[in-house]
Amino acid sequence: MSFLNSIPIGQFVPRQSFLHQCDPRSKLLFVLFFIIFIFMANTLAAFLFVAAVTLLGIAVSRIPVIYVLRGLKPALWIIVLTVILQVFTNKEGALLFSWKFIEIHEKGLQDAAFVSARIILLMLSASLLTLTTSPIQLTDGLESLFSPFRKFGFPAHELALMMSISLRFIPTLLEETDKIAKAQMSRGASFSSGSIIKRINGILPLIVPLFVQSFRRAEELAFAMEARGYRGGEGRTKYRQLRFGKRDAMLLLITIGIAVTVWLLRA
Amino acid sequence: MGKTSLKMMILSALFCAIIAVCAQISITFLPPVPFTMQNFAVALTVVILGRRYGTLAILLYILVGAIGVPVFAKFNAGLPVLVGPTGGYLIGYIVSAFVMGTMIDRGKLTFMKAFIVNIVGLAIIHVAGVIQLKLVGSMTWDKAIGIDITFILPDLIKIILASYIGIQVRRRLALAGLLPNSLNNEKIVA
Repeated sequence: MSFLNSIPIGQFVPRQSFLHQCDPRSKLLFVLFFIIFIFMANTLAAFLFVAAVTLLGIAVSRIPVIYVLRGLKPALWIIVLTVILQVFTNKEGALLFSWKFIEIHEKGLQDAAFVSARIILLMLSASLLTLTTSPIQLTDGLESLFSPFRKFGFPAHELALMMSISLRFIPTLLEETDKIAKAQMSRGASFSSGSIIKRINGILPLIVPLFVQSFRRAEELAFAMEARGYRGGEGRTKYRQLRFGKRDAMLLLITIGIAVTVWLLRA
Repeated sequence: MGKTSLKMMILSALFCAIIAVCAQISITFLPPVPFTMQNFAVALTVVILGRRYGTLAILLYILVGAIGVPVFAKFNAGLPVLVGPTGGYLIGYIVSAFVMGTMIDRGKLTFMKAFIVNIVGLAIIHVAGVIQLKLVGSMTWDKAIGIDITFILPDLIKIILASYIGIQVRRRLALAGLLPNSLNNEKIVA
């Protein structure tokens, strides 16, 4: 059984920068479009252009490069695997190297470089969003972007409320799980030895209290909220107001500029 | 808004937090394969909450992860995980929760049924995973499927365990009278 003792706070890195001060809604839309642009870039020139924009974005955000690179960690092994697959199985183009059954072709190297570079760009640009915007801002932004769909019954406000509740309780539950695990261990429970059946049964006393408490907690919280007059999202005012400002207009112009450039550079 | 729906909404939010916690716990049952409790917690959430609120809890989990809270396995987080080559497996959770919930909401819940439901859910997750792996990684179908297949066996072991533990947990919650009335307590036959 392995826990991490520290409670992580998320990826957001507070800084004073153009990207940090933009409205979360415009950043969300920008990243969405930029991901489409990355897939549209099918020539070397277009690809170098989106790569340059991504690097410029990282520079403008004033976030230490090491934090940005950390965003690649979850996909590292799959990038390596993709490169290996492309290099050793692609049999097109001139033969560059051969030894027994191993053959490396020119097209294989090219494709490997292109595909891995595209995955890296995709993940870097996506991580810029979560590095420059706090989870709370993003929750507000999502609620606002989804609210036009309320007409069709989409629960925009409710979803944002539930996200905030989860954010609030994740650290609490992490701590609680740790406590339960220690309490069970002090009673002789072992999560890392004994037969398989024994270990499976060892999980039950760990999980059941978590679920039981969540039922009780939900009931209490619902009562508390209704006692304070919570009636859903209708006519509710906000403590944090989102504002579409000059910077967001600029970001919009930049998006259009990138779209036009990528379109022109495409084959 | 009725009290039950507010309570169920909060419950979904708390289950989302439980999945986040479970994703950080790994137990080694069979020495080479660490058992991450993530997909186990996802399956359990659907079994306990049913289709509507189960799917909502999973959707929340993906959204909370997407906005940068480290809730995915190994404290990974953020949009890059979702748009990366392996993001399809996470997005597949949402679809599989919906389908699994639909199947579970009908009739009695036995180990065999839980197992079949979990197999269907697993298949959906893997199909979504392979599609994104192929598109983002620009691979051919056979390569994407080849990578995917290496994970099927450990996942099969996991869902046998998930079906067994899921029924146990649900039965204990029913005994404690904690399952909401909308979920019929008599469904549990284990």
